[in-house]
Amino acid sequence: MPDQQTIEPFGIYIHWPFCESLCPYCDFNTYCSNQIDHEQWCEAYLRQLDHSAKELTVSQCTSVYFGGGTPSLMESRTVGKILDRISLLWGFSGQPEITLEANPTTVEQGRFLCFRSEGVNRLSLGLQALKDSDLKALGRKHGVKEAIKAYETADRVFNNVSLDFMFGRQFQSAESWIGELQEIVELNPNHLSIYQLTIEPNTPFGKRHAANRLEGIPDEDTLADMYLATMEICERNGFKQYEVSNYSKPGHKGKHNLVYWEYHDFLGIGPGAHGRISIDNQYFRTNTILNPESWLDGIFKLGTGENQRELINQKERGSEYLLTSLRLNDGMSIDRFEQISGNKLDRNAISELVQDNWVGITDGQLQVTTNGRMVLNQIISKLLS
Amino acid sequence: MNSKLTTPPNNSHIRNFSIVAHIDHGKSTLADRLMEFTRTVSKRDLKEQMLDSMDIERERGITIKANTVRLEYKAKDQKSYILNLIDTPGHVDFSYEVSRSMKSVEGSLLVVDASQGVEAQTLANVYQALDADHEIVPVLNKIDLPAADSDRVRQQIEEVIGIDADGAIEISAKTGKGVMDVLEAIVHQLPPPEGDLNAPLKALLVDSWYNPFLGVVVLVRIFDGCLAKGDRIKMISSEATYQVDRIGVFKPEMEDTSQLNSGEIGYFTASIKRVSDTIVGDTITHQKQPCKEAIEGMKPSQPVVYCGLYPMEAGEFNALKDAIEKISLNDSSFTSETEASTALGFGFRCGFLGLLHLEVIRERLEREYSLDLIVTAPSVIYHVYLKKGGMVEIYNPVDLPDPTDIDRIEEPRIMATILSPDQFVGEILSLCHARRGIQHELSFVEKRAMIRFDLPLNEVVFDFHDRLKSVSRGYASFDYTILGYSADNLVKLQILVNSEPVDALAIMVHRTNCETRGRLMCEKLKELIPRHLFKIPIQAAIGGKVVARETIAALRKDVTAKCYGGDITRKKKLLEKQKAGKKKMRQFGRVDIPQQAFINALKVNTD
Ligand SMILES: Nc1nc2c(ncn2[C@@H]2O[C@H](COP(=O)(O)OP(=O)(O)OP(=O)(O)O)[C@@H](O)[C@H]2O)c(=O)[nH]1
Ligand code: SF4
Ligand SMILES: [Mg+2]
Repeated sequence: MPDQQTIEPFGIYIHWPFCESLCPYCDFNTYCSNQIDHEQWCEAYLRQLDHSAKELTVSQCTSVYFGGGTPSLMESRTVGKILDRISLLWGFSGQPEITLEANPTTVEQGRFLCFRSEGVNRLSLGLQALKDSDLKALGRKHGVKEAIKAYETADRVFNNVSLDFMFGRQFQSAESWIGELQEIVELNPNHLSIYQLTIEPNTPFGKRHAANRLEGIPDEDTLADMYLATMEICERNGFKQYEVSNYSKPGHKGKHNLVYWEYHDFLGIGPGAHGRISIDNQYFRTNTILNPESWLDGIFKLGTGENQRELINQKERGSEYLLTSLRLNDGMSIDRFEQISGNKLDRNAISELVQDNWVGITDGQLQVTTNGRMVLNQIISKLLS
Repeated sequence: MNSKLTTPPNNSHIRNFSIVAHIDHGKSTLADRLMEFTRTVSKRDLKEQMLDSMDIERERGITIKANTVRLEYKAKDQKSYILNLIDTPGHVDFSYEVSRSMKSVEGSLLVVDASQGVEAQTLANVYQALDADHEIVPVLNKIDLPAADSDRVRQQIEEVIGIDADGAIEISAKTGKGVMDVLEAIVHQLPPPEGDLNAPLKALLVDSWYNPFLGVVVLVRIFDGCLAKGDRIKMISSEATYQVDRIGVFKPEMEDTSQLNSGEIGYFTASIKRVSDTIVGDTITHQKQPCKEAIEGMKPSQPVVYCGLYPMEAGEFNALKDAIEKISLNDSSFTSETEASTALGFGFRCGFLGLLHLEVIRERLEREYSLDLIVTAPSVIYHVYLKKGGMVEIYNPVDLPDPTDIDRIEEPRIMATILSPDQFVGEILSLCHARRGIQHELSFVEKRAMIRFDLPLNEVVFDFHDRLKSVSRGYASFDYTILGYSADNLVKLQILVNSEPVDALAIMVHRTNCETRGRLMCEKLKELIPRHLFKIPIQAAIGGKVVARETIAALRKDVTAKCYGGDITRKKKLLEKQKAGKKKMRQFGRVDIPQQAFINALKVNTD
């Protein structure tokens, strides 16, 4: 077996496209359905894995992520079978990270143990807020008390839990968010993902926003204050930020997500899942059929639900690497960028950015400062133009 | 209107008339009905405001160019008549089109919207018709509207304009009600054209335009004699000679005939290369047997508003140049000259008849030629008298000589006529006073006020009309004539963005207004320029003295919260879109200024 250090990370993302109900801010590819043939879905995932394994023969799998949708609504057997098949087809490297997303409702909480015994070793719980009224406004089906109980159960079962929260909610002030943050860090999970609520165009929130009917969304300055406070309070409480919206206790960075940001290969399986794979030194972006029924159809008729594959050229690869790696506190390896893109970074742009304290360079890594992270899109634009 | 002529018997079946009115009172719609009722166009082929054929005319629902159509009408007296109609624009910018149309016809239909009453352009246009000795038939339009009040409007016509409105015809150009009466009135109340078919050819060059298939097409009115295919003709002013290729009339499409006789209106082509080879108002006659005297010429239309047009991207300069040349071919009142700006690079200083004309040309350049333009603040022409003697005309505030060399600056002033319901008079007067106006007249007819103000054109050019509409809830109307130049205490207001003067934002203002205008512009620019990574001071200054200042705070947060597997492509697209958005900006030092800011900076909401 090769040395742990030199194994190139390779992640597999499994998309489960169903939720109990749809949250008004969510623009994931997810649907409500009460007629899910679990057997059939299980079979479909396995077939897709088989199909993909034919062209992706080399890497060992370092992480699996069950996302959605609400993958905790999957039958645990399905999860188990998928993991077995991955193990069979590629093998797992030493200590793979197997994450499953779950909603903190009582019902789902009852099934944590089953998932654990099928091989899931990390749970990502979407708490989103510690205020009942806000949870309601966000269309969430759980309450705060219930969520905390679910978290406690998850912590006992997995001892490796990540919690998701959102700020920038309607009528939220920076002060109240700071108070809430304090409660959040006291929950003391291993990992925190804290996002600013993003208003996506094709969602009920997006439509209300466009019609000026989404009231109380905090202004830019308040959002900036909230974000700064998030970074500070997490840091002060032992949650080290390692990405724009992610914080962890030592040794608990999310491995799977690092695959995206550090720009390694990952397979995307399930309706609407995206992947990025390399075959014979060519790099591809893969897309899958969005509609669940059509995806199943694709698999059972053609063996795959993939519907589009685009070659990523060298220049694009460079900019994608820059775009994702600068999100990390560790930053971007200048050497790797130049190797991937075949281009030199714009030294003038960099020295200007260094001078203004937006970025710094440590051991060949280009890293944004806290100031820079606040306006990362601008920095990226400057570096890419 | 010219010589002593008698009506030859063959002219008694011809009527030439124009339709004049305030903007939107229904001229073009009435023209539609006249075409429909005379079966000039079948109902199936008829489009709304059919004569407005330019894209911009159709889209905006306004008439820009006067249009001619020949109607054949069998009247109740069982005789057949030929009616030559000219539909004219209502907007003040295009009043030149009205004045030249007037010279070619003997009568006018004065259309007044019965729900609105007499407006400023009603007055302006009817006076032009009276000046041209026209017989006038008043027509009250839109009587289908509940707000129509024919009696009140009839009274207004009598008292404000001073013509008899007893016989005014009540119509709805929309439903067609009363339109037959209009046709009868044209036949019976308007005079047939005078003229001598046997005299040497004397024709008026009414208009000309470029047709990609036929070359230059000339619209003519024949006063004496007859013009036939193959004739060798001479233009008296330009002294050019041509041979007539094609000749015909508009129905409303071009229809070839063999000749045009005294009293008729039609077109000809004669292998004329450029529109600029023809002079509107010129007299056309036969080369061999010329007429004795020319028709009194017309003053050429003069641009009154100037602004800079720059390509969004420097590489598009040549494309812009070509486009401007092409448009000038067909629009002699649009002028252009190259100029250079430190902020914007190479572009053109262009002259227009007014703001609507500017808008129309800009839209055509952007649409028909796919150009992305930056438009700078409109300016008038200043006469700057120097201490050492002599005067320079300044079309762009940037070119203003050093203030120490200036003896005085003179600016154009206008006489504005404003008509409005009386309840808005207070607001309108204060608007005019705020714009340095001198009141000349305030009179009331019924509940309608007529206000006349002597105003600097500079104060009117930009947003006066919008402001007037807003203080009068849309009811006041406005027209003007240029009075001449007079001196005032004018200074150049400069705008500094991030401590650098932006020449394209400089404007001329009255010294007493400089602080207010400076403050409003700074505030507006603060809204218009997006936040940057650093804070940007915006200052307004007169010479070296800052009179107003605002600061655009630095951007605090611009980061995408989530970016996982599938988001990467999406995010990249977003950044690319942002970049494309940046292209709509002009980089000035380290600051990106949006394209629209150069003109919108002047759009202030208060006075
Ligand atoms: N209700 C009603 N609307 C009318 C009537 N005549 C015209 N309109 C409407 O009034 C508007 C202006 O009509 P136009 O015929 O374009 O007016 P215009 O005088 O040619 O306007 P300009 O050429 O721009 O000066 C259009 O929306 C017409 O449909 C009418 O008799 N009744
Ligand atoms: S539960 Fe999660 S995936 Fe489902 S709709 Fe809500 S936010 Fe979207
Ligand atoms: Mg019209």
